[in-house]
Amino acid sequence: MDGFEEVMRRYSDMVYRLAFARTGNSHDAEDVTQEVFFGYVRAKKTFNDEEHRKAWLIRATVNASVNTVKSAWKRHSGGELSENEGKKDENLSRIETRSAVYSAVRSLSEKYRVVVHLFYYEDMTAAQIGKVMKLNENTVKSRLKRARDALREKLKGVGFDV
Amino acid sequence: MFRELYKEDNGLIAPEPSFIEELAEKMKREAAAAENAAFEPRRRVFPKAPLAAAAVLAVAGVFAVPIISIGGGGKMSDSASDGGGKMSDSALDGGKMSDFALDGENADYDNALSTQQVLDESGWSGADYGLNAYLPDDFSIGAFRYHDGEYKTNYIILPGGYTERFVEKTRYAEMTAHTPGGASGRYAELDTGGEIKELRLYGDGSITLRLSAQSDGYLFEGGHEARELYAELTDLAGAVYD
Repeated sequence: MDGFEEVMRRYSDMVYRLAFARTGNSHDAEDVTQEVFFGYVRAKKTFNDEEHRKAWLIRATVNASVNTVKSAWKRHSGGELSENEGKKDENLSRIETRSAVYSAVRSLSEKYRVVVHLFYYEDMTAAQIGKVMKLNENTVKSRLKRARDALREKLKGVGFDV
Repeated sequence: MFRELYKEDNGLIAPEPSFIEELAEKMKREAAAAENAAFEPRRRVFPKAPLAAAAVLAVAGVFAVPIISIGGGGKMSDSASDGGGKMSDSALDGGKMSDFALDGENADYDNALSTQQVLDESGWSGADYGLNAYLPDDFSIGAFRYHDGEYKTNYIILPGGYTERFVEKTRYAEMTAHTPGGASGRYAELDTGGEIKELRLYGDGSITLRLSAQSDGYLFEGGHEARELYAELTDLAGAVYD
């Protein structure tokens, strides 16, 4: 699968959802998605297989998201929302009105959100997450445990376990 | 159950179809540009009559040439420093690029050339490095180097307001770092509290950063720490995306 259109068709939702999980809004998620695919085209990497390609895209999304969320630009612009950011986020509205689960995950700090997303949505193991995020496997497990503890607390009374 | 619900919820998160369509179009253009770039040399040079070009830039008096290093036996025309241009003495010593490449004190940041003026002449752009996603609009070219009869843009300086952002972009990079004291080691992670004093993007795609730590210092693999160091990145795109 070499054509970028096919790569986009297959992975744009994955990249966007991970970006959304990290940034928490559609505007930044779009920025991240664009940055990732631009990077993909420029990198002209050769991948061993689809798993390799997927891992690369996840890694790129994790990095890009970090940069978007933490960038000095964001910090220095201090709460001034752009026109797009000021609009109601439809993705967010759609999901938060129906789901205590997503809201609970969203309330976690960023470093927990991403491991939760990769573990529960992408079905990655702690070892795989550690590899793409360049974290020790035990660090991932520790983050997952803390995230689960926090989610249990937040979802207490909703009627299901994490 | 949590997994199923979380997956179900994420199924509701999706990019706007129009965004994907626009992105696909941009990707097409980007791919075409990348394809074309593959047939062009990485290092762009000034067009014919480089001395004249520099003279025009300097005589314009709008800005000054901060540093010009003459290598390869080249000689600088007096006219290049007329018209308000300011020339560093050290730049005229016929020395090698390394004479000042690691000497940020000699860089004349206040008089760095404006981006557009230089890019128009040099044909350089951040896209040559795959950096335009995060090079600010107002970065500036720091110096020229005259070598083998051609002017080459030497390095690009990022303005202070963006240095922290750049650190974020490169914090996962593996790079070789050197302290003024001579210690070196593979960089584990950049401290975001640090400040980039100087950043140079060279025509061959290599990059050097001159950094100083503001708070915690920098942690090298091997346990070295330094308050100031130089870091050499050889593949920034890889640093960001790999």
